[in-house]
Order: sequence, then structure tokens, then C-alpha cells
Amino acid sequence: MTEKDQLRDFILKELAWDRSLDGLSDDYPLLDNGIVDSLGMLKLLEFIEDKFTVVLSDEDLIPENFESIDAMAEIIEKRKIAA
Amino acid sequence: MDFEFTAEQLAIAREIKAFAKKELNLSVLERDTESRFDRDGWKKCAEFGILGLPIPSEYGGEGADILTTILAMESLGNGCCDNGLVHSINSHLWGCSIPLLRFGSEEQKEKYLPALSKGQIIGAHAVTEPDAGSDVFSITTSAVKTGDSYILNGSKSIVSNGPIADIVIVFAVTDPQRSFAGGVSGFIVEAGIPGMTIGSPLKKMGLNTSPISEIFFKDCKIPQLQLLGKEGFGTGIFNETMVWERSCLFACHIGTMERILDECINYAKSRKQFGRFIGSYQAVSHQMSDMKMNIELGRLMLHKIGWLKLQGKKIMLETAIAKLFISEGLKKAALAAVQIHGAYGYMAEMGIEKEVRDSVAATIYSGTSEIQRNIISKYLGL
Repeated sequence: MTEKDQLRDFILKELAWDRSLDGLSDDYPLLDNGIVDSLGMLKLLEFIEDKFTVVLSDEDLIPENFESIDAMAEIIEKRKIAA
Repeated sequence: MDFEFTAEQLAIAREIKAFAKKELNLSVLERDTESRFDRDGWKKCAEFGILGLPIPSEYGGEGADILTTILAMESLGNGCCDNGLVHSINSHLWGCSIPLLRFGSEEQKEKYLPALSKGQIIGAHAVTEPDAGSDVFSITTSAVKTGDSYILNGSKSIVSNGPIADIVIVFAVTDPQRSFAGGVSGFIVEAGIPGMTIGSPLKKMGLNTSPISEIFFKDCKIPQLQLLGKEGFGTGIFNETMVWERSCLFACHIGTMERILDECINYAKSRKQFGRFIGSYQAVSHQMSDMKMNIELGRLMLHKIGWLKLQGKKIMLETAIAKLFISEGLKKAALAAVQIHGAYGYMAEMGIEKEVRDSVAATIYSGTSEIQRNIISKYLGL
């Protein structure tokens, strides 16, 4: 499973389990559509750190990094390179 | 798995407990009746190092790690009967000092942390509003950028330490389109600044020696240099405050529960009815068994939290569990104490009824029990 697929799987199972979403595209606006709220962002951060063995700093906990699967994949790659 | 604390940590705990018992319990009931904050007690705590406990020494603090701080707070809550003073100390530390330490610029840290650590200035944290309590990110106090300043307008309710604060960490909306997702920012606001009005102390059910008030902002100009962290990072600052508050403040409550338990045991072993000490009746002793169970389980959870934080782990779920469990346990312990003491427990003179009045807010502040259950549910994937 690619990183994006793992993110998608987590979001659908843990954050959007009660929505009738027919799949989730990589660029789907998660914050604007209420899929990710303040707690959801924290859950995603913990998932990303555990699953992909990266460390996200306080500066990474900004909406831009969680607004879509694409955005999250990008920050994961940046932190992997930085490690 | 090693559950032992170091000799140094245990010594700190013993010393704080002894200090609190000796210095912080003078005229507690009288001050509670008069709703009078203990300034002398505050100064003594500052001299003892409590007000700068987790702050690094380069900023005037004691440099204690979170696990040591949790142990210390437990001792403070145990030794000090003035739950209001304990509450004010915690509001100062987790609502003001810690956010400054974690998110402040070097200039901000150097300017404020030494004075906060020495208790020379008192800190507070203003987020709740009349229409934004549990729904904290629906706050409407605005901060509009104008040149090199922000203009604050709005009001905050239920600000612990409000009437006595010298600096307040104020949360305001800098981008109304974004809410929690980058729309809220934190500001360091010095009391007395034009446009800021602090309301009169509010009368409440308990914690009467910890003053609380509203704060109003009307075209209040704050220099950009007073922005805490980056613009839009208010959610991160708030979450960090909550994590420290939900662990360290509730460590104090474990200490309080243990003090209540000790009082109940002493009473149950001295009071006779129907020819027997009441502690020999299971209806009485079982209530103390439950107190002990809740103390030990709550304590274990807090120690785990301290350990996790030292490992750099995120602890939002664990602190929600601890806060929910300990706050509910504290209320139960206080009510059980009244019951065990019978009619005497109901009388103000004994100080037991004060524990009940002080404990009720514990399931409300730092996020209500309902909110903690929401957080836990979220982590269950619900």
C-alpha cells in the first residue's frame, strides 16, 4: 500500500467512518469539508509519526499540511529527507 | 518495568509536602469565607521554587522534568488545604508560563519567564467566552492586524487569576474563515494596557481563594511583538496548555484525594457508634477502599503520562482519560468524606464541606467530563 493509500484508509476508517464517501481523492479538501477537525488533526499527526516513523514539529501542525492527502504525503516526504 | 522514583525526586516531594503543611494552611477556612487570595502563601511558594518548577534555570526556574513536576504537584495538593491557592498556582504555570516557554520568542521568554518563575508577576490564560466554553474554537474575540499591531475586541469570561494577573495569554481570532485550522492566535497581554478592562471577582461555589473574573477588550492595541508563536497557531498553544493542565493540575487532585482519605481513616478509627469504631463497618470502610483504588489508578495513569511525554510522545488521549477519571474520583471522594463524617462533615468548621464545593469545578475546567469522553471516543475511531 502506498503512503497515500495508507492515509486514505486511516481517514476513511477513523475520521470519516460515518460519512457516505465514495472513495477519497488525493486532493479532496479534508478541512473545508469537516472530515478533519481539531482532534482529527492530532489523530492524524500521531498516525503519521507512528506509521511513517517521522517526527512532526509544532511548526508542522498547521492546516496547510493536513488539508488533503497530497499535503500530508508532501510533509511526510519532507520530514523523511530531513531525518 | 521500574516504578521507582529517584531519591532526589522523592526528597523534592517530601520537602514540598512538609512546606505546604507548615506554610500554606493558615486561616484557610477564614480566607475561603472571605474569598481572599493568599498573597503571603504565593510569595512563600515562589521562594520555595514551586512557581518556576518546570521552567529551565536559565529563565529563573528549577528545571524539573514533567514526571518530577507531577510528583511535586501531588505533594502540593496533599500538603496544602487551600485548594484555591493550588488552583491559582496551576493556572499560572500551565496557562501562562508553559505556553511562553514552549512557543515564546527568546525575547519574550527572557522578558517574562524569570518574573513568572519568581512569582513577581502572576499569569493567567483567557480563552473561554460567554458563548464559547466547550466549543472553545467558536470564540469571537477578534485580533485585527493593523500596521505593526493587532487591535483586540471582545470579552473573556471565567478567567482564573483574572483579577490578580499581571500578564494574560489571550486567544483571539485572526482569521475568521479558518476557526481552529489556523484562525486563532495567542497574544501576551500585559494587564493595565489601554483598552483592557478586568471585571470584578466573580462569586462562585468553591475555590473561593482563587479569584476569577471577566476581561473585556475594546480597541485594545497590542504590539506585534506580543504575538505568541506564529499567527494562526492558537490551537497548538491551547492543546499544549491542556496537556500540561490535565496532567499536572490533576496530580494536585490526587494529593488532595489522599489527604481526604487520610482524614477519613483517622475519623473512622476514632469515632464510635453502636459500640464499634465506624471504620469497622463495611459500609464505611468500602467507601475508603474506593478512594484508595481511584487514587492509585489515577496516579499510575499520571506517571505513565509523564513517562510518555519524556519519550516525546503525544498524550492527548492519555491526559483525557486521566483528567476524566481523577476529576470524577475527586468529587466522589469529597462527597464520601462528608458522608463518613456524618452531620459534622456538613458543618463548615470541619473543612470537609469545602472539599465538596472545591471539587465540583474539577469536572468542568480543563474541558468538561463530556468533552474528555468526546476525545476518548474520537481516539476509539467513533
